[in-house]
Amino acid sequence: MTDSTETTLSVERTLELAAPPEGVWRALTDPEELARWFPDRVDQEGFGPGAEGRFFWENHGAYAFRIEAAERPKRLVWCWARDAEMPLDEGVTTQIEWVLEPRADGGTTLHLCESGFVRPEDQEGNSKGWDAELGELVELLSG
Amino acid sequence: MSAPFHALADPTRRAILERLRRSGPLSVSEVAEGLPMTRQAVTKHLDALAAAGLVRVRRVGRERIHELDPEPLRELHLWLAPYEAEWDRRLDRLKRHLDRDEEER
Repeated sequence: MTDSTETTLSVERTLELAAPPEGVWRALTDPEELARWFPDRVDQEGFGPGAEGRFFWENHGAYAFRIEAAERPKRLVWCWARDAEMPLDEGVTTQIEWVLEPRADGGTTLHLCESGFVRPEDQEGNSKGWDAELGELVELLSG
Repeated sequence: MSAPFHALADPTRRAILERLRRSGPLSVSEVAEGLPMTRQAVTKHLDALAAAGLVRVRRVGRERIHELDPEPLRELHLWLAPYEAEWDRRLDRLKRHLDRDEEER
C-alpha cells in the first residue's frame, strides 16, 4: 500500500467481548469462523503477511483482500478492495486493523479501524494525521 | 464531495482549519501568525478553503475575517455513515458468534 492511500477518513469501533484473545483471533482469521459473521465464504491461500484471498457475498460478489500483518493474538491487518471484482490497489483499497487486548476477566477488548476511504485522485500532499483532526472537526457537528 | 476532500488533503489547510476551530474567527495576519510561510501563501490556502465551503469570509473595515464552516464535513460524515452501519451489523454478528462459542465451553 502506498502512502497516498494510507490515511483519510476512518471507521473506528471498540467491542468488549467475553471470549479470550485466542478465541477472538480464531474468529478473525479462521476462514470457517469468518464465514459465520463476515462474508458468506472465504477463499484464502495460506496465512500470514502477504497471503491473499477473496471474501464472497452472495448478494455483492467477491472482494479481494491481503493480510498485511498478523501478530497472534494481538494485531491483524488486512487491506481489501472496496469494489467487487476489483484487483487490490486499483480503485479504493481500505485497510482494516484489528487490535486485541486481553482483559483482566479473561475477555478481550477488540478495536477496529478501517481507514483509507478516499480515492487517490482526491488527495494531495501528505495526509498523515488527517483522521484525528477530522474526527475533532466532526465533533463540532455532533456537539 | 470531491472539493472538501481535496481541500482537506493538504496539511497546511488542515492546520489552518484547526486554528480557526480553536480560536474562532480570525484575520489573515492572525491565521498566518507562526506559520512558516508568507501571508500571500496563507491567503491562497484560505481562498481554497473558502472555495470548498469550509471557511466563510466577511469584511470588517479593511480586514477580511475568516470563520470555520464545518457544514461540508457533515457531507463527509454522512458519506461514511453506511460503512459505519455495515460494521455495526458485522460486529454484532461477531459478538453473537463468540458468545455462542463461550456458552458451549
